[in-house]
Amino acid sequence: MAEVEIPAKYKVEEVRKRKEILELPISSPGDEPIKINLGPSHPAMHGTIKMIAEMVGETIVNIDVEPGFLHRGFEKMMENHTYPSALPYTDRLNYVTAFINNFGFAATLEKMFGIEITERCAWLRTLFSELSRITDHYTCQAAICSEIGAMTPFLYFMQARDWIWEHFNWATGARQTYSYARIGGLARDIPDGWLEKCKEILKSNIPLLKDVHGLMDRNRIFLDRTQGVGEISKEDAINAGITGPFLRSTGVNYDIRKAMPYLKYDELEWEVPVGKYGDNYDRWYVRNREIEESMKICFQCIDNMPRTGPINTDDFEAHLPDKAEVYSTIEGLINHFKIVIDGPQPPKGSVYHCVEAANGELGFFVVSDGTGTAYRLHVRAPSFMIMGVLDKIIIGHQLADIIPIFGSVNMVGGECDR
Amino acid sequence: MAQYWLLKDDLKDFFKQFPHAEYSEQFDQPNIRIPNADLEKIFDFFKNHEKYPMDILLDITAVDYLTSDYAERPNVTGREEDLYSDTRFDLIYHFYSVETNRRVRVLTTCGGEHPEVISSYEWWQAAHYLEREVWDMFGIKFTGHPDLRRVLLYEEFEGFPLRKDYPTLGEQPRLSLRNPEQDNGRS
Repeated sequence: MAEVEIPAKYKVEEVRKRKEILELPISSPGDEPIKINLGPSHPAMHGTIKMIAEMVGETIVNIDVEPGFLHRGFEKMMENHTYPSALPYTDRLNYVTAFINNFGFAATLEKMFGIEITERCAWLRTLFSELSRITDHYTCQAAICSEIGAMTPFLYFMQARDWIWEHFNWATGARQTYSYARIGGLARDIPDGWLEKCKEILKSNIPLLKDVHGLMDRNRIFLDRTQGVGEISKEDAINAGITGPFLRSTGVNYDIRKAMPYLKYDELEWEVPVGKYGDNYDRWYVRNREIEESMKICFQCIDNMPRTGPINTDDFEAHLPDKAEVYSTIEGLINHFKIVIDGPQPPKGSVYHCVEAANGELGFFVVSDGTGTAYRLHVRAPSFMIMGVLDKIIIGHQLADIIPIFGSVNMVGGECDR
Repeated sequence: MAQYWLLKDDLKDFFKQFPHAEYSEQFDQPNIRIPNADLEKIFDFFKNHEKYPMDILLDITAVDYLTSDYAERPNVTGREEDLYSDTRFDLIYHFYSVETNRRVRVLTTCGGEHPEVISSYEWWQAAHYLEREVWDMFGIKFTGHPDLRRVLLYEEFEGFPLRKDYPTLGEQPRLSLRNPEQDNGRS
């Protein structure tokens, strides 16, 4: 996306001046604040969150954000499943980027077992993570558009996302919940011709994105609803523990892919886009740029990836051996049996491993007591931290502003509520 | 990945100031264990550290060691009579310094009939939801927290689900309709 020149009257300082006039309470001074319930059963609240706003006139003076409607006891479930059988649950954290959750969980355990993944596996994981990130950003951007009434870009984004999801279906057998990672490798290799088709799909996405940019980036209605709305300063965002595109939109250059490189990110050429004001428009801008950077990474992955080679480690402490070995050798059979029945047993101790998910730092904190089941597994969910500060962002805005603000922070219920 | 964590050599001034702190390393990651009476000073120390100011509080979580005979952890026997032991829970803080790209993990213990530690909300606003979650799941109180309510579960929930003595298949009583005037636990 080319740098967009913002006309002077839409600069944030100007918009803010206008907002001060709008924020004057319309009701008389003696009025009590009125409570308004938003959600959880409302399309704009994505079905998983409730807000109780206290209004004076059109202005929100207090708001209580109540997540938890999608709480399924993820962490308690993790304490009762062996590590391999707990992996499918991670699909259901951020269900739009299940690959990143899978790989983050697998990488945490690989760290405990001391397993090195193979070259080809690392490339494939990088490619799948970035494709996943693109689909998540598509979903978030589409939601912002549709929530402020722009249906056409919503459908364009959904079209683009669906092409990628159908392509995932070809490789993994599922559109959303893939369970594709294994400790020390991947569930299966990609089919022949998958990479070439993937490149075609990404290329066919570019005209759709161009259309969306044309429709939205300088759209007067869109600018009015997003610039100067939902602002947060750099210091406040850091203090509130926000990470990911949200933090970068305030101007902090923190991306785990650069700060503590994992997989193949340090071998690729790409940039970390940052915003300036931390408002809705900057979050839109940063996500759009990230889509482009992720596409860049995907193209490089497809071009540089070794076409042959093993995808799974040959360390059978944690990874299931090949079926041929299970049926023909006694060691393979024992390994298979021990991993399926008892689960792979990492050494005692606790470990924290984080990956850059679509919303920020997704961390897994695992305490192992030496058995095949985690003694405790905690997920550091990026959306949850954002929900903690959402009330401070919304207070002072008008009721209708809640919807685009909530859309642009991209809260995903499965990950926030666990 | 060890270069992204503050190891013993980076923290000489810390161990000079807090000689009681125990240091260990697991999987290339440091564990700094401190008594919970020191927490306030530790928050001050890390937030205002000259070289590595820890400006992001990444995570607070807790571990219930009730059923564990986890030998590397001091003073825990893992028996039923430990239900009110002072060292039943571990509280784990993860800090991150944006400028210097370093992390640190601080552990402390708490327990007793009504476990209680000081809130870090005054230092990091991120503690708002994190501490509410720990209260929600483990029943550990944070003194000084401005609004300590349940966050993921509902107000009427009985017990604390991530404690080890909460049954995996535990059931909750059915609720009657809430009074709309007292919705959300706030009058």
